[in-house]
Amino acid sequence: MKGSLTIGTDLTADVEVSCDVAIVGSGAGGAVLAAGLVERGLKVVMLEEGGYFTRADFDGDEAKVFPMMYQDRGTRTTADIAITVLQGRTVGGGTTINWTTCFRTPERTLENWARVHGIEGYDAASLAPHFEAVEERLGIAEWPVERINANNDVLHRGCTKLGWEVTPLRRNVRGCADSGYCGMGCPVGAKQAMHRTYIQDALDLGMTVHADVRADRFEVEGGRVVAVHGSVLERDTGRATGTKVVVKPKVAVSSCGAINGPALLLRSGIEDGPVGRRTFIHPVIAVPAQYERVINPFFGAPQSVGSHHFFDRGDDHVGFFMEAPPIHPVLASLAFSGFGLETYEFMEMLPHMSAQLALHVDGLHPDDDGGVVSLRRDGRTRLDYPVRPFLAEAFKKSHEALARVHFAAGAKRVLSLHVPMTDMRSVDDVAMLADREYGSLKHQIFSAHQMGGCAMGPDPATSVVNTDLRHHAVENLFVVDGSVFPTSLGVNPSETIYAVAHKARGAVAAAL
Amino acid sequence: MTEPTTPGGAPKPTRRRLFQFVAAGGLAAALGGVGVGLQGTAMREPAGPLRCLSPRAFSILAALADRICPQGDGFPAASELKVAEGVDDLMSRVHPGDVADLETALLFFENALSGLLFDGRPTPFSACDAATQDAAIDAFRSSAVGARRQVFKATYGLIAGAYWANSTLHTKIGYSGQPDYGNRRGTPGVSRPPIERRSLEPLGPLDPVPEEPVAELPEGSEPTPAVEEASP
Repeated sequence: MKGSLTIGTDLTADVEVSCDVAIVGSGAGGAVLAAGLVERGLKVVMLEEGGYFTRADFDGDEAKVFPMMYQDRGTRTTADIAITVLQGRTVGGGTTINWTTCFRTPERTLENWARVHGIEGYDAASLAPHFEAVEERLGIAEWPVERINANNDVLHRGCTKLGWEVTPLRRNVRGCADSGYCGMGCPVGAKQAMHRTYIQDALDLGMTVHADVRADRFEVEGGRVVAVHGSVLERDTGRATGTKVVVKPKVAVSSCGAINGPALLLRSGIEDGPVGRRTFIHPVIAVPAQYERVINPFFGAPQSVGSHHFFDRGDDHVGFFMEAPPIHPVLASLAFSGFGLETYEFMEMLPHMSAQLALHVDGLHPDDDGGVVSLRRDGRTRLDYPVRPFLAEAFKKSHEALARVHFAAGAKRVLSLHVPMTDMRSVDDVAMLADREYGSLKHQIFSAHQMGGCAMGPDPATSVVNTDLRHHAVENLFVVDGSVFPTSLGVNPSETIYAVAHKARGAVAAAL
Repeated sequence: MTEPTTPGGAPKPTRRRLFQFVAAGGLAAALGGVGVGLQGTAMREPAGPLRCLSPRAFSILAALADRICPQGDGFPAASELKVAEGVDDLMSRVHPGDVADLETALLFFENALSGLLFDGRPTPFSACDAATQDAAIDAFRSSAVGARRQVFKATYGLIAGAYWANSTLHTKIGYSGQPDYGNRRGTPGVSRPPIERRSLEPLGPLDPVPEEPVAELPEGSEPTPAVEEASP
């Protein structure tokens, strides 16, 4: 290995380094980009505020995972606390703790980008070589339907009985052991996360990675980034140690994702265009159910089948897609709002519990501007995400759809995560959902996919970067991550981020 | 100038007198409210030094945790598992502004004046009996006032997460936990792990360079494929 990786405790004295390209963030965007740049012989320095974890750390202990590997120690929410936001914070970004589901970008979404947002060069044919490249590197392949776990079987069986579309999904794994612990870091090293693949490739070819270093700001002079200023963090406490890292690059790249990426630009005074606006999160609702048979939803590959039956509900309705997550105790408890002994009754259902998710496709509805990332006065990042009436309507529809899936799959009891829960005992009871309210703080809402906030596009008034992902106003600044999407995708975003970053390699290298 | 009176000699209602009445009434109510609001928190002793929460906020949190996760049905109370201490530890690692927000939420839960106004509860939450505390929690959880539901959600998530993260509970709920793949030695933040270079299958080759404008490769810097070390 020619490169080097430091963690916070390695850096006890201030560091100042010059390089060709400084990349802030090591997730799906930054890692793929970095590997392509060092292949071209460029000197790349990467800053990552999260820690560096490997298989040895992935022991499946939720008590450690959320505080160590998720943003805000697992406590990130929207400003109104209505939506729980799950987002990774590691070397490898979200890919270290995601559930491995991979899709190419739907043509409907790409068509919307071209037609509504004027984006050229992102049609399926143009992206195909980039998808092929990352699929080969990351072992992305369809999961055999005969290996789906019982929780996914519920979705498969329910949709099939209802005559709804349902298909096996593709995953970026090699040698998966069906542990079910993808969300806590793969314990067998099967997941082809960034720290095992593209970052490893880039380290082999000479990249420098500084983990546990937060990028505080870009320093801009004369319309160019002249330095990236970072602070070394103490991993356990998150506090700055006082040691500073200054990187002076020819080209700077923000790859720290939606939410943190726009916040970094705002902290740097780079406020041109709609930075922070049109942030999309695939708002998720969950519907759990109780089965006579054992489900053990914590075991087996998560999200190995999915349904896009309701993806396209027409331009005036918000669509959604359905997947089956892994369920572990902390995640299950966060979905519940009961207290006292009813908590125990709910949690004791776990082995017989199935939960299904509906992920809502925000940003395609013509009136949907999504959320807004801004900075609080004390420097904290803030995400406001209103649930508008058309999204609330979709929540109602998706609750009903998931309840029907459960009953079709043989559930004896289906619950909604309202306060109080809707307790349905037969498919006739699904009608009870019509009388419930939908929206913020009416029921549980989650997000595991964050997109937008630095949208690409041809017009500086309505976008932050151009379609080469180069900033409209700061000449040597690129944004390479999911924040450049002008809408949400309608599929799990990691593979699109990989491909977009793969495509951006040429433009970033050419900027030097 | 004498005050106008009614035929019975009582002061005649005037706008000025009405304002005085409202002001006096408001002051009295406020003073009474302050009295209610200043009633003491039932303090609890943490198992060790607090890392970020004030003793009062900790006490409210611990009282709340013991009703969200009470002893019963074979499960231990939150205090037995030191849930409030766990939340204090977690919050010590986030932005101080988040800690301040949590303390505000806890004081809102505790405040007897808001309890009186919203729920007819004239006693601080921490000093109430269990049934009254349960009623208060339910009132917050299902309140028509969004801010009260926010307070419930913010505190509930921290407490439930800290409680159910405790692995001693897992067998009882039928959760087997992660199989032992020989990697239960992780101590994040304590020691630097070696750079991982193992996989169960050989990794694929480097992806091809796309057909797009690229920088010239300096001489002698041809890309080399990653080399995987054999698994031990």
